[in-house]
Order: sequence, then C-alpha cells, then structure tokens
Amino acid sequence: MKKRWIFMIISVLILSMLTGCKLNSEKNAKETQVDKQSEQVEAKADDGNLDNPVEIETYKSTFTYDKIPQRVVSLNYEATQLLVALGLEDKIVGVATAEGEVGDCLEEYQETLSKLKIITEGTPTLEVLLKSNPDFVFGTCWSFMECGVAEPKDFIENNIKYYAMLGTYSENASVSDTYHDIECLGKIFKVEDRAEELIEKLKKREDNYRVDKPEGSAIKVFAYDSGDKEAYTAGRGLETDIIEIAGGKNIFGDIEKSFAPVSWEQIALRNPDIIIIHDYNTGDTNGSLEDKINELKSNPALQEVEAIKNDRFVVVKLVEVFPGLQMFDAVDKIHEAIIEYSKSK
Amino acid sequence: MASNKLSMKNIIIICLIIILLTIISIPVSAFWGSADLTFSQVVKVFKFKLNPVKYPLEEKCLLSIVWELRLPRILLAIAVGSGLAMCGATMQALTRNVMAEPYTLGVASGASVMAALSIVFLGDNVTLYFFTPSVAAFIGAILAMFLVYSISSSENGASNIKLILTGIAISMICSALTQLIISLAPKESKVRSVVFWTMGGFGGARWGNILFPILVATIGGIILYSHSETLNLLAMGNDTAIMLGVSVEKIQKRLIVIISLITGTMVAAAGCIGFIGLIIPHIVRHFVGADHRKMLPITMLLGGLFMIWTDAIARWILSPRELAIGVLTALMGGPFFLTLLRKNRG
Repeated sequence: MKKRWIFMIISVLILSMLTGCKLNSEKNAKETQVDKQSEQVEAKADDGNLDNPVEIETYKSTFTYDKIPQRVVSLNYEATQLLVALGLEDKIVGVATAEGEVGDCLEEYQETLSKLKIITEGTPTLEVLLKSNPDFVFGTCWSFMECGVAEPKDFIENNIKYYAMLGTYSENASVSDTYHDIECLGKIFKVEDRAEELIEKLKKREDNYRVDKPEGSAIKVFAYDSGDKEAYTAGRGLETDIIEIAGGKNIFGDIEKSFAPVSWEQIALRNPDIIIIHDYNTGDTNGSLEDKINELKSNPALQEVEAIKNDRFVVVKLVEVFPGLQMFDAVDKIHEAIIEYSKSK
Repeated sequence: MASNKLSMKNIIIICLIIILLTIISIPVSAFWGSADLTFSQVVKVFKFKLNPVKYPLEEKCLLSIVWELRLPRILLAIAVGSGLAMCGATMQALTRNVMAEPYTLGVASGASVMAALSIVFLGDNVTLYFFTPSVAAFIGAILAMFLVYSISSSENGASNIKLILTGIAISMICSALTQLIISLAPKESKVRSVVFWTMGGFGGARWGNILFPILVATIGGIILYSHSETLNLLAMGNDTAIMLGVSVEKIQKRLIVIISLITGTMVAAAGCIGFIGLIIPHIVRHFVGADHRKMLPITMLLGGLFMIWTDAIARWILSPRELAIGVLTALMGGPFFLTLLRKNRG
C-alpha cells in the first residue's frame, strides 16, 4: 500500500510540474504575441514600402504582405532560379537542394546560383529552416506538409510567410501556373515590371509552338520516368500540358495522379509514336539514360510499339517537366521530335 | 545473474535514480538536434526562460527551435517510451510470451490502416476535419486489439498462443489494407503523407498537443501498477491463476482495454515505433526479476529515459536531416532479438 502511495505522489508531482509548464508556456506565448505585435507596429513606422499591402493566396493559406520579405529561403532549384531571374538573389539567405543541383539549371543563372548558401541537401527539417531565420519561404506544395518541412500552422506561428508553386497543387497543372507564380512573386517583391518581362518572354515561346503546330491528329506520346516491373509516367498535370503545347497527346493524360505507375501492357496497347525519357542528370538517378533506353528496348511487351520500333526517343531533363523557367526547353525538344516524325510520315 | 533478492527499498532507490537521470536528461538532450546549435546558444535559451529580463534573447529563432520544438518532443518521448514499455511488459505477462508487445498484437497495423484511411480519403473533407490521422489511429489501435481479443477468446479467457497468432494475422491483414489504400490514393502527396506517418516520430510534438499523451501515460502507469500482483499470477498460467481465484477472463478484458487505450494514444501521438515494448521489459526483467511490483515501475521509467536519448540520436545523427525513430528502434531491436534467441538456445 505504502509503495502505491509513493508512486502516486511522485506521479502527481510530475503531472503538476508538466501542467504548470504548459500554463507557463501559454502565458509566455501570449506575452511574445504582444511583443511581436508591438514589433510590427514599430516596423510599420520605419518601413517606407507600405503603400499597397498585397494579399496573395497560396497552398492552404492567404498572406498579406505589407512589407517586402528580406530573408528568403527557397526549397529547390526551380524556385531559386525563378527568384534569381527576377533579380532577387540578394534577398536569399539560404537554399535547399531538394533533388537537384546547380548543374540542372539554366546556364545564365548558374554562376549566381552557385554562390547561394545551401542550408541542407534535400529537404530541411523545421529546426534547420528556423535556424536561417527566414521571413519568406518558396517551394513546392509538398514542402508545406508534415512530410515535407512542416505544416502551414508552424510557418504561421513562427511568422514565416510562404508561397507554394501553383503547378504543384493545382487541379489541371499547366504552364500558365508558372506565369501565375511569377506574377505573384512580382507583386510580393514589388518587381512587377521584371515579372511582366519574364512572363512575356515565356508566353512568346509558347505562342511560337501554337503557330508551328503539325498537321493532322495529335501524335501519341508516352513519358517514361523509370521502373522495370512497371513504368512510372506522368498523368494529368504539367507534363501533359507541355506535350500538348508541343503538338502531341500524352497517352496517359487521363490518369488522375500527376505521377503514376502503369503496366507495360497498357503502354503496348496505347502504342505511343514518341517516347520521352526523363534524365535525372547526376542528381537523383533512377537508372542512367542508357539503362532506361535499354530497358524499354529489351522489354518483350513493347516490341511492336511504334516509338520503339523506330527508335523515337526524346530526352528531357527532369527539372524541365517541373514548374519553372525550363518548361519550354522540354517543349522545344518534344516539338522538334514531333515535327521530325510528322515529316517522316 | 538475476538478482531476485532486490528489496523494495532498492527498487525505490533505482526508480529515484532513473527519475533524476530523466530530469537531467530533459535539458541536456535539448543540445542535440538537426539544426547545428552551439552549446552556448542552447544555454542562452534556458537562461532567457529563467529570467527574460536579465538574459534577453535577440535570436528568437533559437527560442523556437529549443523551446517550441525540442522540449515538447523530449517530454512526449518520455510519455511514449514509458507508455509503450509498460504496455509491452503487461502484454508479456498476459500472453506469457516475451515476444508480445503492442506491435505483435496487431495494434500498430490497426492504427496505420485507420490513419491511412483518414489521410487518403478524408484529408480534404472539411466537415470531417476532426477525424484527423491521430484520432483515426487511436480508433484503429483499439479496434485491432478488441478484434484480436474477441477472436482468440474462449470460456477460460483467451489462450495465450491464440492471442499472438491472431495478432500476427490481424497485423498482416492490416498491413495489406494499408498498402491497398496507398495504391488507391488519388494524389502522390497523400502517399507520401501515409508513408511518413507510418515511420513514426516526435517531430509533430508541440506544447499544445503533448498534455494528453503525458496524462494517459501517467494514469495508465498508475493503473497498471496497481495490477502488479494480478500480473504476477497471470504470468504463472491461466489455469494456475484461475485456481488461485483470479477471474482470468475479466482481468484479461480489463487489461486489454487499458493497454489499447494507452497504446492507441501513443500511436496517435507518435506513429508506429516498435521494439521499445520488447527491449525495455526484457532488460529490466533480466536485472530485477519478473515480479511486476518491482519490474513495472522501473520499466516505465526506463522506457521514458531510453526514448529521450533515442530521439536525441535520431534528431542528430544524420544532421541536418532526421532519422525516423522507428528505424533506430528497429535497428536496436533486431539484433537484440537475435541475442535473446541465442541466449535461450545456449
């Protein structure tokens, strides 16, 4: 009996300590909230950029920007490249590499990109991100989930605004999602003219393809990412839009997921005329380029497929089928292959 | 080497030592983490908390990291480690099998299926927002345990071997269902979320959500401890226990309910973390003997202490990345298991 009492007393003591801790932390939280509010008021007084606070909606949150972010962290190279293209590299205090590297990016930006501070390879934990003390984070929608960096509420609680690339979470991802991203960044960082310029450049490229569309029905294209027991391909999403702009049709564009496994039989059935292969460069390779081509060629189920019989492969870098500045490089390559194919028909 | 002659006084001393070590470990383990903080930076945060006026803190991000992220995690780790260890010990007494722990009785897989369901199919449903993965995991854990118990039940209470076999069967079914749910997921982000959830971890711990698991672990511990003598009797075999006046069926049911509630809460809070319920009770039994009045309190306390440091290692060893804690416990548990088997043979 006595031992039970001792045990209970100890437990109650520990419990009350912990409850006390929690109440204390809530009190502290309220205090720091008050502090933060007064900080903000002071900041408003100093900062001159207050004329037009801008409201930007993004993945699961809407933020009001009453001053330009000064400490930016971007979570992959596509995002970083966009910021650099808008001339915002001075505001970047850290980048995460995700699954890419500087070599995947456009040559014109590579030098600037290589000078940026890398806070982690891959994706940072919340701790690592907080250590850089950012006030703005830019990444894919997956960064803002528990399986990424952290959930939106953690960013909000730490006074960090974020923006997720629209193309990673919109229903029917398309190239115009990237235009939207550039526009929003322009509004947030008050670089609207540079943003507009960038968008115009990209739109012009897009229009070129629409002019130069090949005759006849759309050419069937299959995007092969990786896999040997089954093939991973692109379903409904950005890559489908890219293929369409180039003048083709993604044979798996009807699949809901933007990245899904399909059986070799289905590929044989749908018989693509051209096959796109994702080159992961040296970053995160799921088999080198030659391996992938051999895989496809040696697969008995695919012997009668048009694209394989006639060796019609197009290689695109993985980064080019993700939202960003390099989407039209992919379109270029696919378009070229399509024109060649329609000439040979 | 088993010193069965340890008196209650010795046990209390050991418990107090472990408690002391745990209290010291709380601030000390906060020095480790995925963010590369120096010793003095962490000390600054503690000083600030003790006296904000005398020791002001300019770098508020340190406060966020050490106080808002690491400390709640450490406290949750104590609760979960303790909860899982005590449930493991109790299950081992119930089933008279040293391999029994929450995971072998299907609880973890049951929790995973429901969590997967919630993430994949209900994640975007606004009206059912309260059916979070944690709530789902809790329900799944309890359902799994009830299922296992009722299937293996007979008039004299559930046969011990039947419990384990049923548990394994339910585990397999639930794992398969979880895989099915994953393949039916409409978006890859949901797949990632499910996989991430099943790996387990304390990364989601915040001051606002750790009170409940801590309470459950504490109260659960008290309740299980009060059943120590009964557990001793059960460990002698159902028939022996019945002869000695224990209503085995009633006790089994009661204990299963308690274990489900505790384990359900732990899994809801931290996902699937295995082997703690196996390693800790076994180590304690080796040194202290199988008398639950002595081994249960030490098991509970040691489980908490062990988890603090396991999480600290998981946070730090791959810095700046984090290692999933389930991986660490499995890496420790697996070889431990094998040594167990070898000892039993030789």
